[in-house]
Amino acid sequence: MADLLDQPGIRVRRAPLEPLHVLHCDPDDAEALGAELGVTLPTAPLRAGDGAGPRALHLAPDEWLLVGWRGEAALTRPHALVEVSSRSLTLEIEGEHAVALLSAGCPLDLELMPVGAATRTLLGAVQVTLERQRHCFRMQYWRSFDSYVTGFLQAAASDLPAPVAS
Amino acid sequence: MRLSTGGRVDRARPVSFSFDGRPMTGFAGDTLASALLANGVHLVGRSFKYHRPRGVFGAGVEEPNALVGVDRGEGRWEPNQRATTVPLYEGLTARSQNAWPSLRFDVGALNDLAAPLIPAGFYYKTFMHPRRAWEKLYEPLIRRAAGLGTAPTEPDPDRYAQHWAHAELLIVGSGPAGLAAAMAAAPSGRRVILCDLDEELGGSLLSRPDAVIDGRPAWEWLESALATLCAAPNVRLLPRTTAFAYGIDNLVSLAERLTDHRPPAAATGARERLWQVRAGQVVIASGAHERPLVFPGNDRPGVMLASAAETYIRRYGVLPGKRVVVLVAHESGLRAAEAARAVGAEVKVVDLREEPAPEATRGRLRISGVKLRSGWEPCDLLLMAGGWTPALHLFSQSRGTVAWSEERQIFLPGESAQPETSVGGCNGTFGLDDCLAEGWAAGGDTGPRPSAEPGASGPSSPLARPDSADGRAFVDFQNDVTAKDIRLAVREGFRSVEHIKRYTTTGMATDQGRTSNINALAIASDALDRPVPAIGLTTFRAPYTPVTFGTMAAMTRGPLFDPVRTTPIHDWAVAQGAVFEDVGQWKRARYFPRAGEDMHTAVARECLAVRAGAGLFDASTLGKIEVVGPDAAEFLHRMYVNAFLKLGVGKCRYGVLCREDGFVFDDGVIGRIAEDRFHVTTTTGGAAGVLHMMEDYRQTEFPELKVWLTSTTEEWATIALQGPRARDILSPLVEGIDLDPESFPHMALKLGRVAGAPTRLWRVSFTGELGFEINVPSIHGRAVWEAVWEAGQRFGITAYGTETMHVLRAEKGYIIVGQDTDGTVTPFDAGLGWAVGKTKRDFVGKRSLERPAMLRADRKQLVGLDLPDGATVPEEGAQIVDPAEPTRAIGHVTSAYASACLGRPIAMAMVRGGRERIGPVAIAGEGAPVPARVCGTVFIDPEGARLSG
Repeated sequence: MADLLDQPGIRVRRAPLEPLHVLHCDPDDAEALGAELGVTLPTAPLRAGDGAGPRALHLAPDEWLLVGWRGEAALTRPHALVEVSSRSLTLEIEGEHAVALLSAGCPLDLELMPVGAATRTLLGAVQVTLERQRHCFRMQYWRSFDSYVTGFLQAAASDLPAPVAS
Repeated sequence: MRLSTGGRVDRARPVSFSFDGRPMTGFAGDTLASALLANGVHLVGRSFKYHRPRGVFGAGVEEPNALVGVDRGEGRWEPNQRATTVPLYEGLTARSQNAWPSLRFDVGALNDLAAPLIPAGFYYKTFMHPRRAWEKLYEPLIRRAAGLGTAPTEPDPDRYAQHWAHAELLIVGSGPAGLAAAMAAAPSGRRVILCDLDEELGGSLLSRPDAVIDGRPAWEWLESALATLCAAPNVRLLPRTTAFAYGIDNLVSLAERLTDHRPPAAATGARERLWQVRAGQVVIASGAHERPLVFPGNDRPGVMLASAAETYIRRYGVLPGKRVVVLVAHESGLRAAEAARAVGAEVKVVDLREEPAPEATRGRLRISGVKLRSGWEPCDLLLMAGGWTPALHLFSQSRGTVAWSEERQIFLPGESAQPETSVGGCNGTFGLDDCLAEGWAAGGDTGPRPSAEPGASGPSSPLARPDSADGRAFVDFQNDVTAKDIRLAVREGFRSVEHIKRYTTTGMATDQGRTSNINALAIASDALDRPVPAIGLTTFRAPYTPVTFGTMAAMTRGPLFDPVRTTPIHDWAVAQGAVFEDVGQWKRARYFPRAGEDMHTAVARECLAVRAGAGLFDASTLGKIEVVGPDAAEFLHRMYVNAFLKLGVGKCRYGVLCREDGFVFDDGVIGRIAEDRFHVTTTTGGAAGVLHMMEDYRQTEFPELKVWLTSTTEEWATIALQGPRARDILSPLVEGIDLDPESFPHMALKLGRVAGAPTRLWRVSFTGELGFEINVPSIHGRAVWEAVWEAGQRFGITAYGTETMHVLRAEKGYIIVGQDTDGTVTPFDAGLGWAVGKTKRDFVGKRSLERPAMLRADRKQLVGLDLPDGATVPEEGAQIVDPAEPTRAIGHVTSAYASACLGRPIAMAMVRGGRERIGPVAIAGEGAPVPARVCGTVFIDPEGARLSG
């Protein structure tokens, strides 16, 4: 897919669609349910699992977002598993100015956001789910906000503050 | 007059500019004020109320007088700019304000002659009668007379950027204290942001080339200090950046000016940037402002703060006068005297600690003499050194409490409310070495600190307390408030500084009393014979200096003002020429006009087509919540007024949701997908509110229930196919679903495929016709819509919008929450009593619904209004009256439409005791009341035969 943005230090492109499911359950049941699903559910808050295959983002005490998991599961403990593959769109933002770009609209301290962290936050007026991976930020948002989010990033990219000590 | 040497201006780079059309030349590095003074221009503006001639008074943001308009081209006219902070650039065009026909001869100066007639508060006393004249006459007149510059009328063509930043240390002010803090902090690796509102970093050092730091001349030291900081990867230097607001949790807002120092043609990119900095620690090093002295005639052009003159001489190489009198109430004034003398001016120092303040001055457009104890002294520059007022603005905004020092006669930072430290002038520390020491300590206190010759820290002189009631001794120059006005306010009974401020307007306007507040306080204290702290200090509010609307809005304008949400079918509707309406943030197709159709005709056609054949409607914006878990049915049973425990899998039920107060909050159809899984729909506007309300109850009221909520609004596209031919259109498209009415009756749902996409197919209707709502994952929405559209062509399928949807549902008496209800309507009022589970032990709102007041027979109830053929459609919101007593409103119209199916208007209304009142009423409006009859709410097919078709 064509890049939404490609300029020195910044590249923004759409990520291919992947199966997405929201899993809610009692945190005490998370380990057992994860085993039944075949996905490791991180227990630390606001962390994403890593490794190949499906992974889970721990977004709230009783909530995980499963990325790339597909299939049926006979689960033995109380839970809610809801498919949301069509709900969102995902962008990948990479480059040395990625933090500066996102900081136009995201109030979190992204410089200190570690690789492997994931959280719900804001980009301007829109709620997004932001995950920091080794090479990029992945940002997910509900699809009806697409024109706002892409317009916001394009506007922000043209007016980034100069890097420090450059 | 420009000196032949000295200053920081770049004499190799002359800059042309104009003031009131007169071409002049300055140098790069000048401000407009320094360049005007270099060209011998002292008269720069006219005052606000009396139109008195005014000149450059200060050298920075404290400037109350020299306000000008700067013209940067179409849409870029900016009034009320302080000439002292406008950087000079090639081609700068500035104009004076508040003067007509010219600055030198201003008719408005007649006000000055009438001054005895227009003292403080004269507006309130004069413009009282007749009351009606206020709106039409007095207010427009006063508004025209008031204000200084004229507001621009064109839209702002510039862009404004915004940025969130985080720093362990934010330093506001780059004078010696701020610089020392940054240098101490830099080696630690902590993230440091150092901002300063000036064009250059350095603060007071820029006016002190004579000072010596670490054995080096101050400017040399400054250069190397800045080079060190610039090279530090953890330090961000932000010149031209004003910290204008200090919020909670150490969130400080900065306005960075990016292009205004360049000629408009060379100004590319965003004009300004809003920084929102979350800081671990804030070091406030905002300095101090020099106090003017209050004596008669202290406002003429050529009367200036002593420190400002020092700055013009030393930083800009401009001597603002050759014959200088310096009024010294604080010893810092001696520095200005020395600076002027060093460049050849004739200087007389008058020590006000030993003799009284001047009695008068003279000179119409520029000062020519001052009357001292010894008699008239000719001069062309009169300098005032009244001591220093720490700039407590940001400290006060941080909710720190200020403390009065009786000994020093200044307010100082008291107790901090947030992680913040004040250093240097704003902390009452004035000696150079003391400032360096204090800043160094605040920055981390590591290693040997920079040091200067120990300078006097300046024992502050007592406040100027002029007691002369004669003459015009100005306190607030920008608002033309004199000492007499403040004494008048006190005589008229005002005691609190907040009241005195509002009555006299002292301390208002763009400079927010930066130079005037403390003198006003001293005079009030004197007049009331109470100590200064007993009168109080007015609150310092953001912004510290005026901030452009552009920066405040930053990126939140144009297409980014508010998100515009669109459905998967939006582009199709656009291609079909749909007219859209805003529903919350959503764009919804309102109707689909064909060539030559207005809304009325298009809607009439769409309505008839749905009832005669089939219509297609995009209902994707409806809110959807997936309620899942072993206790899902129990949870909905407790939330909604309806019974949900026994709803079978594969069935749908219309649900009504009340708030705790028993009033209808939302409604929607709820389908049971599985034993433990419900697909809940909400209104478009209610989606977020319902989810929040449910989450609130789930977590706080019913934590024992094993149930969870997931928003699926955007997971599903919802396509409503309505009309007698709906089944015929759908049947070739479905897989695994039997559409036969026996197996798939009204209010049932089935899972399967439509046009190849997985679907949750509901048989529901908001039109009263046979209908289906096809839920498919959003990514398939457009394709399925087009497949249905294609299949419907031979049945005359018609796309319809929200307007037609409204008419069709009103013909059936289906309510729209928020239109037919208004937050004071119970399910019983709305005619939805049938939905309330009579045997339910509890549900949200049940107790409220049992209160006697909620059961009264004369509550407003939803009814239909039967209107005669040929009647016009009543206004929604129109009052309904009893024809026998037409002055008493008994209700109001909630919905009204032209019904093409019935050939006459229909309306729904909330009417007192409406259901018992079947019979004649009248609808009030312009002209005579229109007769109508209260009737049932169902206008078409009351038996529901068409639904079960």
